[in-house]
Amino acid sequence: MGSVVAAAAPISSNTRGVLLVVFLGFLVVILLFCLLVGPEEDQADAFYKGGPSGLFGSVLALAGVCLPAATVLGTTGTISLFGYDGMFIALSTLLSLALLLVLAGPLRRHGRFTVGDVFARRDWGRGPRIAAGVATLAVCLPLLTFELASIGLSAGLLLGLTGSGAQAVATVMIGILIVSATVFGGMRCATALQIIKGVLLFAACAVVVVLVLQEFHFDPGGLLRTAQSQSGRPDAFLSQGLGREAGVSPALGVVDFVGLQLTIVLGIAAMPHVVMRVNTLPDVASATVAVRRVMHIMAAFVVLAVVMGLGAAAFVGSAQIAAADPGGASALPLLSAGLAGGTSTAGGAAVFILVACALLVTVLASTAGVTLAAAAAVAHDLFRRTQRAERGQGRSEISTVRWAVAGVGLLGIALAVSVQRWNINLLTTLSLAIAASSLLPALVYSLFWSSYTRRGLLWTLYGGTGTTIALHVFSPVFSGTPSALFPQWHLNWFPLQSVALVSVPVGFLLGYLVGALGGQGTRGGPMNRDWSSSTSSNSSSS
Amino acid sequence: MSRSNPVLEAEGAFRRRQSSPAVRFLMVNAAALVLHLTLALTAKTQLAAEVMGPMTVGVLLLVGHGFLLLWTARLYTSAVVSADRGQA
Repeated sequence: MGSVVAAAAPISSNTRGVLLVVFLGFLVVILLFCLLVGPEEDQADAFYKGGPSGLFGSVLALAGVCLPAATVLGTTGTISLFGYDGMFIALSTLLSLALLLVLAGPLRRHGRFTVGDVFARRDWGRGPRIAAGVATLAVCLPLLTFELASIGLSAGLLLGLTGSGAQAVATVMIGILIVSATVFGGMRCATALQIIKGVLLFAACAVVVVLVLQEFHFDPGGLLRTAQSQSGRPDAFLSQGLGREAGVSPALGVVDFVGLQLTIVLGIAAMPHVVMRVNTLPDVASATVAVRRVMHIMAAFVVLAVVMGLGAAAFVGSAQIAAADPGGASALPLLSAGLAGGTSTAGGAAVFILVACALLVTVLASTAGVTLAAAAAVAHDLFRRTQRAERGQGRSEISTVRWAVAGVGLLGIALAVSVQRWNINLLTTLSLAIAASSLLPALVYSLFWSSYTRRGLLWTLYGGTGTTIALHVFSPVFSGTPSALFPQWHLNWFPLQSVALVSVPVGFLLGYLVGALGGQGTRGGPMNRDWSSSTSSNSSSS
Repeated sequence: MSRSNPVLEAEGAFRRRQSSPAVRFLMVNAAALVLHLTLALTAKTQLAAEVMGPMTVGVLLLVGHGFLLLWTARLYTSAVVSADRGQA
């Protein structure tokens, strides 16, 4: 148990110096790489989809998109703090790919770049595109803010930068670098980052898992027993309920647990950057096969995350992890700082730097993907003119999307700096809940229900988004509790922390009722000829 | 209208509609999730019982659920890919 002491010890200044040099070198190399792999042609298609990266590359990139930094750090952390509840969350992350597996084929068949393109196959005018753009921004902006704020926080903790000023500088500098890379590199840059991330993250996690199991002579039972005893509540560690917020009644805790699983299972498949990534795959069959292979990668990651989470509980202890971050996001960095003799030894420092670099590139890749999806929604959906006026104007759209990437990125950086001192854990749940309550019902109805109407689509998108945001504002995660965004305010009349149990049925019901009873006369809608010709030409060219 | 007419059924007039692979895949996994959540919330003591050393029934159920998902995904993918090849 020497590693327990090592984890508790601060990171040595030598290691921090090496880490700073490696970080800076890593950032410069990645930026240059993104500039080099940027789109060869100045066309929107090349910018949004990138070039062919082969099925293996596409699978790695899609796996990277489905495995953002919040999932990597959050899953490991919740397992280390809440045992069985954390493992269930890890399983839900895997289950979310079941929905993506079914949607991948139809999305690839009917999609082009953005979520709005799926709705544009019916000639319903600009309204649905604008609504899709608004819903996409509502999903992406909170996520982007969270990712950028995490960059500053993680870099600050790893490099020993204390104070919110230093963390804000780290957020701004790294944020500007990654936004610049995305402006020039587009989807090719995002794909390259996701592939590097996939390889590096798995290598780092595998090294950590081997080192953790080595401490227990490769006996998982011993690891489980030690994790239980170090968790502070050994009797409850492997049964449901440890993740319940203090002060919440058991009944509400049960409803919140179900709501959280629902948010994860239904939200991930409809995230705009996931849909955009599926659209880069060559055809329907390869989209389905790719998602299935991503499931295997995710299953492997879930196993690694369980071992790392239990390892963090065993070596670091749940109390110390919770003290560093109540959500458990610090579990993996704390664990890696204590392995192989700690950061004062060469081996321990190497492990720590490997994990830190893997986490850095994970956050960079996630940020690039989300920024690109949000910018595409602005340039391709919100500011899009009529189809005929757009013909042959790929160059004008590419300059619009580059400006949009810069604008969205700078907005994200400004938001991330301004919320640096707040508890922003609700932002990821908010993003997932909006995706599950507005984009998912709209995509499902649009792809599988021929009688879906324009009015039903607008009600689904605006109604689902509005309901989710409103319920979040009136929930205990926003105000009225010590862990809320604004603890001193008291708007929390809605009792549930996971609003998806209400907002998802509302989104589906609004679409169904308005679609079935609305009778607007545009039921189903004529197929958009411009759209179908453009997608068929894309498919053939890819 | 008698939907259970044996003569008409024998003639295939009321052939049962075959559900698509996607519907079957989603139904199986949704049912498994609902069942798993129900068990996790109502049978905490039973799921916390140790069966293989410190390994509990609940942990084994999580592993089993993961395998069920991967197995049904394999069946679904092969059905979709073969249907796609058939269309081509």
